[in-house]
Amino acid sequence: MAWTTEKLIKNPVKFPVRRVYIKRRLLTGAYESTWQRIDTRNGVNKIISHGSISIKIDAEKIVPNTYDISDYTTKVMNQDGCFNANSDYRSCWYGYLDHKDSKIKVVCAMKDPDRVEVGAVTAFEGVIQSVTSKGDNTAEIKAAMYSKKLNDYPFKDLALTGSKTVTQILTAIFADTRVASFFATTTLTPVNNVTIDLDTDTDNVFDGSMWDVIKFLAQKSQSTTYVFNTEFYFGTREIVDSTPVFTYAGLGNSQDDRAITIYGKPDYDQSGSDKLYTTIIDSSSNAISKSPDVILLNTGKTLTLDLKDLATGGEKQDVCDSYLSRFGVRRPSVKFKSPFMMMLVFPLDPVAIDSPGSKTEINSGYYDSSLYEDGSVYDGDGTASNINKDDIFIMESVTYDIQKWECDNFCRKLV
Amino acid sequence: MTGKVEFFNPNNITYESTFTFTTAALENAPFLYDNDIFTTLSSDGSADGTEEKWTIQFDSANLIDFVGIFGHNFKTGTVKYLDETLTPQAFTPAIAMTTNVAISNVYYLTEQLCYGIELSITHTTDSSEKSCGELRALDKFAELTRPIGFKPEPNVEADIKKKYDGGSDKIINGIKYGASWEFDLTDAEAQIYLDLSQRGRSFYLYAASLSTDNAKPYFMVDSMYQVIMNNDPKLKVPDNLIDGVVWTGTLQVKEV
Repeated sequence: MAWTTEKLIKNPVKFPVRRVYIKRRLLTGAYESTWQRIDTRNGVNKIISHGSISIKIDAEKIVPNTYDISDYTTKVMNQDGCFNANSDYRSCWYGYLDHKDSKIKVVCAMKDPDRVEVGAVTAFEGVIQSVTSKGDNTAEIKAAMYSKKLNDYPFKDLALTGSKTVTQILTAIFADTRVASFFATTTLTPVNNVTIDLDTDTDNVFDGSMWDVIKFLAQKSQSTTYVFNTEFYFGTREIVDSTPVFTYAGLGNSQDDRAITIYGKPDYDQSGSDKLYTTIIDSSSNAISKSPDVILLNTGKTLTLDLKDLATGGEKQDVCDSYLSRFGVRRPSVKFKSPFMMMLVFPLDPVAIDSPGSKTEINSGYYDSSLYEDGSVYDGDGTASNINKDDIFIMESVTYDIQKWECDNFCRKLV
Repeated sequence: MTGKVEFFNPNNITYESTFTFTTAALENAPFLYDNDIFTTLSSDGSADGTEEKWTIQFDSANLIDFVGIFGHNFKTGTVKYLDETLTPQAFTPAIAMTTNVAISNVYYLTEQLCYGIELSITHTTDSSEKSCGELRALDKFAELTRPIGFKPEPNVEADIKKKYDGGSDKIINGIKYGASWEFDLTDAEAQIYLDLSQRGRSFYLYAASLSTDNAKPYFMVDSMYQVIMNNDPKLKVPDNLIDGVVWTGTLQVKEV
C-alpha cells in the first residue's frame, strides 16, 4: 500500500522524521559543498528540542506587504563541545569560520507503518545567527531566514544608475553572487512594473540595504514579497485559484475516511468583526470608499490609510476600493490546531474546513427530525459551530511546531 | 539459554570518516551510521550490474573483527578493508556476496588493523538502486557466555494529541531498546560486568547468537543496539552454586 503525505497526516499514528544539517564556511568564506548532519552524531541523538516556525501575513495590508517568518531556535546536547566556538578543537566548527552565517536546514518527513520515509521536505533553511553554550552542557542555536542576509548588503554595491524598471532592479539584486548563493528560485513578477529613477533618491532609500530597496519596490509596484527557505517571490497577493489545498476534517465531517484533522476545539468567530471595515479613507487625498450595506455601515469600523507614497489619485482610490472589497463584508475566522502539515499549507493558501458538528437538537417543525432510541438525532440541527466545507478560507498564519509535530492555524473566509 | 551476548566498541564509521561514493549523495552518508536501519544510503542512477563503490576512510587506524551490513538489498559484492596505503585488501575470511538474498548480514573476521573499508556492489536483489541502512565496522571487546534471563524493556517515546471528537493521535518520536539481562558469571566475567558499569563509552550489545533461526524480536541478525549500562553493578552468589560459576549479576541496558 502506497502511503502519501496526506494519508500519513491523517493516520492516527505518526512517525515524524526530523533532521538538521549545517553548511559551514571555509576559511575562504565560501560554503563547504556538502550538508553536514548535526541532529545525530554517530547514532546518538543531539537534539533536546526543535523549534517552531511561524509564517504569517498581515491581512490588513495591501501594499506594501511581506510575509513575516519567525526565527528558528533549537536546543542541542553539547557535552562533547561540538557546538562550541571554532577556537575549541572539539567544536565541529574547528578549522572553519565560526557559527555565524553558517547555513542550517531542517528536513522533516514521516515514516509509513512499514518505516518507509515519505515526503521529505525542507521545513526551514536559513543562516545561523548565534550559538550559545549553556552551563548545563547544552547549546541553543538561533537561525533566521535568508532574507536577513539581504539586510547585510548595501544596494550601492550594485552600482546601478539611471532609470530602471522594478524587474531590472530585482534581477540585478538576485544576480549578485552573494545573494545568489542563498536563493535557488526567484519569481520576479511585479504587479506594476513601474520605472524607477535611481538617480533621484529623495528618501535615501538607495543608500540602504538591498532589503530596504526590495520593500520600497514592493510598495511602488503594489506587490507582495515572500521569502521561504531558498525561494524568493515578488508578485501579486491575489488568490489565483481558490481550490482548497487541504480540507481539514472536523466533527461530523463527510470525508471518506472520517479521520479528524483538528486537534482540540476550534475557535470560530462567525462575525469576523475584528476586521470589518466599512469606510476606508485616505488621509493624503481624502479618497473614500464606503460600504453600500447600511446595516454593515452601522457595525463596521472606519479605517484611515496614509497613501501619500502613491503617485496618483486613481491609484489611491484603487487601494481604498481594494480594502473595502476585502474587509467591507463579514469574514468569519477560524483558529485551530491540526496535525503537522508537512509544509503543505502556507499563508494565502485557500483551505476548507469540513466540520458541520454533531446534530444535537430537534428542529422546530420545518424538517422531519426525530430522536433515535439511543438519543442521537436524525436530521436535526447542527451545532452552533457548524463550519461548512464549501466555504473557502484563506490562511493568514501557520505555525509549524516541529517539536510538538502540530500546526497552529488562523484563517479567514474568502470574500 | 545457550550462546553468548557480545559487546562491541562503537562504530568506526563516524562523521569524522572521509566518504567517497560512486553515485550516492555524500550528504546522506550519516544514514550508514545513524543506528536507524530504515533510513538508507542509496546509489543515485546506478544501473543493476554496474559497480557502485563506497569507500570510507577512518579518521585513524582501528582494529576490526566484525562487519555488519543491515537493511540492504545487495546480491553480489565485496567488502574489503583499506591498508596503510589505502589499498583495498580482503578480510580473513573474505567477505563476498554472490547470490545473497538476506537483508542483513554479519561477518566475524580475524582481527585486522584497518584504515578504512570499501564496499563494492554490482547487483541488487530487486534490480533497483543499491541501498543500505547501516554499515558497522566493529571491534569486539567482551562477551558473556551464560545468560540466564532476559526481560525486554523498550521505550516508546510518544505524545498523545486529543482530537476534536475526543479521539487520539499518537506521535511516536522514537523507539529505543532497553532490557534487563541476568547472567551467571565466572570471576573473569564478573570483572567484565563491573567494567561495563564503569565504561566511559557506550557500546553495542548483540545477542543474535542466542538464536539459531534469528526470527524472534531482539534476536534477529540486525538486532544490535548501542547502549549504556543503566544499573549499579550488584554481584551476588547464587543459591545453587555451580562449579565454575561463582556470581550472578543483572545487566540493565538502555539504548543511547
